Amino acid sequence: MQGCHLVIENLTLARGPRVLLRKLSFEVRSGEMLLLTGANGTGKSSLLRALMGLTPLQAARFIWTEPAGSAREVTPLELRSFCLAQGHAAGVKSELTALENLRMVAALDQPPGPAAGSDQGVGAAPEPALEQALARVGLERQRHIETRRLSQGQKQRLQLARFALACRGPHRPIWLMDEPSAALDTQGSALLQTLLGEHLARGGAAIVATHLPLQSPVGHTRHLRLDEAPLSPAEPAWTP
Amino acid sequence: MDALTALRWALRRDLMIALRRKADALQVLGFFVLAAALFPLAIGPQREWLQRIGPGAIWVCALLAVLLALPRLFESDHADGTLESMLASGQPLAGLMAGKMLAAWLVSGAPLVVVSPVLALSFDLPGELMPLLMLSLLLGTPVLLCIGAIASALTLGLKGGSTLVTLLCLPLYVPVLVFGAGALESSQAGLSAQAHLALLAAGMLLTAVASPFVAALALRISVE
Repeated sequence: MQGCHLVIENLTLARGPRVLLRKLSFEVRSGEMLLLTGANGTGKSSLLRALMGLTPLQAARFIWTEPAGSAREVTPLELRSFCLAQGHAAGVKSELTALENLRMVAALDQPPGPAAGSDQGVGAAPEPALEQALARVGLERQRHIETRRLSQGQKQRLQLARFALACRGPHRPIWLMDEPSAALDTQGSALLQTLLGEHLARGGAAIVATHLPLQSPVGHTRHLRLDEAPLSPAEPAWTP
Repeated sequence: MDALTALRWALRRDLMIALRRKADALQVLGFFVLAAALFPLAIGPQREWLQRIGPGAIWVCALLAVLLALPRLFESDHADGTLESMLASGQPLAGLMAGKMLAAWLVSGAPLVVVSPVLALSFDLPGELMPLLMLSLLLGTPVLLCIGAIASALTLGLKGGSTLVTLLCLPLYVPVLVFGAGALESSQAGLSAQAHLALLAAGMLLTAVASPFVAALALRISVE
């Protein structure tokens, strides 16, 4: 996974008639964390949602360098298969137990396309790994409890378990996280930092949107302030 | 994941969730049974009338019952963010959709087929008609669900979406209703129901193949 590199050029993002980001260019490479900061409404979440492939971008070029490969341009659709995304909502099914939720989402987090191994069925991640990931985020006693009985913070810890699992397994080198620490306690935030550190140490990269400063910068941190050049309200709508 | 694994994943997941929320499936079934049972009560025990309206009434009730099941198809996944993780995962979305639709049919469509002979009894339909009734519903309810899935994917996140789904779906349901109830009527008249059933089966194959892709596309648009 060493040596991946994602360059995003000339990204323009509009929500309705309002242009949030214009011709933004940035890059992130293995071992690096890109912190998106900015006031409310400057487009942190919108940018992440666009990178996750949930909303269309008005313009952007993605240039991706595989680990030990050459640079090539990729579509937003392809970009999705390198990214492990955590959205704003908890992404947890309240009828299923913590363990079932993790098992389900772990299968979803496998790289897209035909499974590499022949034994990769519906529950691709091995059970001990799931249990271990839950134990790591402190949910081992809650693993058989339906998640509707869990608190908001515990649900966010369950999300972290997904990333803890990703730290062990193969694959998705870029983590996209939207406010990962919003409902976490200090212990949880510390765990988040550790996980991010491990991921970066393995040569992964992360793009994280947050209001809160992450306590101790892990790995090499780059900052991208989205509100540095505020657009005037009179700015005309973006046209292709 | 390839498309087939994605289908199995979504099928298993939705069936597991349905098992934990049995009330949802029972609501649909309960509505079907109660609504269809109202007709004999309202019309009275005139055997000829009941036999005449029976197939149509059962079919209309099945259609409305399927409509009742549609809003849940994507709404809860949308609300808790799991739908977004499916979209963002880059896994074959049409496969996931196909799995979800199959699960929804097994949970809300198949029970209707199973209990329909009981309702046929309340209309005093002759026993020979029961297999045909079940067959027509077996072929017809998947069509209803597939069309409805597209409509509910399109209206996801809109206010008053479920009313809109009803308005979008009902005109498209007309052919299914005509051929479904028509199969039974022509059989009652001593004709062959084969043409009706063949058309229903063709409709089922077409919608089963096409609708996962269309619903996937519609979801991408409405999640924006």
